[in-house]
Amino acid sequence: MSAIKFETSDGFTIQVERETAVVSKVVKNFLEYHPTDKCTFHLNCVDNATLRKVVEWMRHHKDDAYIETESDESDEERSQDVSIEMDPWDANFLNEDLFFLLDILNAANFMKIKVLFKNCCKKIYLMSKGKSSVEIKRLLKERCDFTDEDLQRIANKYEWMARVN
Amino acid sequence: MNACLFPDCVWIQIVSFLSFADLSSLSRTSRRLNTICKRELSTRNVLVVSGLPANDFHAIDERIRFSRNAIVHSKGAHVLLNQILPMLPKLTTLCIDYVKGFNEHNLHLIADHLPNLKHLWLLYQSIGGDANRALEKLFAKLNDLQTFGFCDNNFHDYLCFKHIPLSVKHLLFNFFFARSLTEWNAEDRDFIFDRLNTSVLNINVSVSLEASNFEQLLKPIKCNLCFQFAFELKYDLLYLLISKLLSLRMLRIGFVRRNQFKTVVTILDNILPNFGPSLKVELFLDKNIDKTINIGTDSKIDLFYYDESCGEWFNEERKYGNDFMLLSDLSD
Repeated sequence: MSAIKFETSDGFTIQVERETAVVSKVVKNFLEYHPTDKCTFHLNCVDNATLRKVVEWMRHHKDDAYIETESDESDEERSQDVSIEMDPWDANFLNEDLFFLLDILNAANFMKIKVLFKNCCKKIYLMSKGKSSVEIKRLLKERCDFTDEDLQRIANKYEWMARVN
Repeated sequence: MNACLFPDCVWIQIVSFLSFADLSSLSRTSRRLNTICKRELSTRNVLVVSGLPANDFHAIDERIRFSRNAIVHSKGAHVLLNQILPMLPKLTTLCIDYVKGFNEHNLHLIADHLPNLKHLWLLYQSIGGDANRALEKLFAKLNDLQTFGFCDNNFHDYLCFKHIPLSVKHLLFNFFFARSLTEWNAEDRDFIFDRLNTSVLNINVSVSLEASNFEQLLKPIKCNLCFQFAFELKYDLLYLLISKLLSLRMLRIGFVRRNQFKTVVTILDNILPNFGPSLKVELFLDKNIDKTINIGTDSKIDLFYYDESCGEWFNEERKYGNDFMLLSDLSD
């Protein structure tokens, strides 16, 4: 059986069976144009712990039909697909702290694993849902570069979107 | 990894799930996220404005539902027209439910903001002044409209429907107006029938009506029928209605209570042999009916049970009901 190797940013090498590796669109596309039994992918922005987690997800989903058919989507398609439903196995699998989740999301984005990417986004959405801007800033450790006047102007502009209790 | 290091494409995906209220919070977090939220607003294509208390979803019926992230609470027609719609230029689907302040002078401004609007629902909408004139002016500007839904208990003069754009393939309205048909002159009535005949018609029947009106109106129409028992179920009316609709392609009945179930199934079993195999029948069962209730395996009827955990109706195969909106290409 042919195998694909991934080299992580912290110097580890993980060998993955081909049918699992091609869940990543980057791998799949590469192998379509460069057929080979042995190949190493350098993942400069994915560390060992994250890659192991991602590979676990890829193994679990390698036989799913939608993995085969998924394609890049347009803005319009993305905005129509806003269901927050998630496979229960995935929901449990992604019960991680925010920063590990962000690492997984980044890896999924880099390796083009669309379903994992979207599910990470849904998890982050669920973490930020219903929170105020101050709470979100704290959660994301985002630096606020607005003046008080800016914030008031934005609040007025988006007053129609404000939450109704 | 820090969230602020993410490329925009990651944030663009995350904000697509956010409700308008959450977008408002996130947009005040930083300039970068503000720009991403602004971009998200400019790409949104579905909006529900509701004057009713906020829910997790907004349902037109058991099948047509809008998710929470599409809903904003109404601040009135003025705010909708002057603040909201200018920020959402890509809207193709708009549902306005119980929003005050629309009249014959401003309703058509919806079309000015949203020339590409494809699906429009005006529900329980009180329109000030000459409502027919208001709708006529609106229709004149919506050349790409494909769906028009209308529901107003107090509105009985539907002559403006003569002006519904020819592009409309789905008309959805409650049949309160059937009572007024007999008051129309023959020419107008024929026009309405003719217009309905070119559409896939979804009908919510939620009041008892004179059987003669039903027969007169529905007989020539190829339609999907959505029969809702908002009031007492009249079995004779159900029988009469369905047995006259030989061009019926889809029938959905709901919500059927436990004590109604057996009679409804018996009626359907008597009637269905008159239809071809192409007729799809769905029974949506009342929320408190569990899967212990069932019908013979050779029945054409598909039962839909309520799943409390996700607030949706599913059949045994865990599928939703057929989407009426996708059945636009009915052929002769």
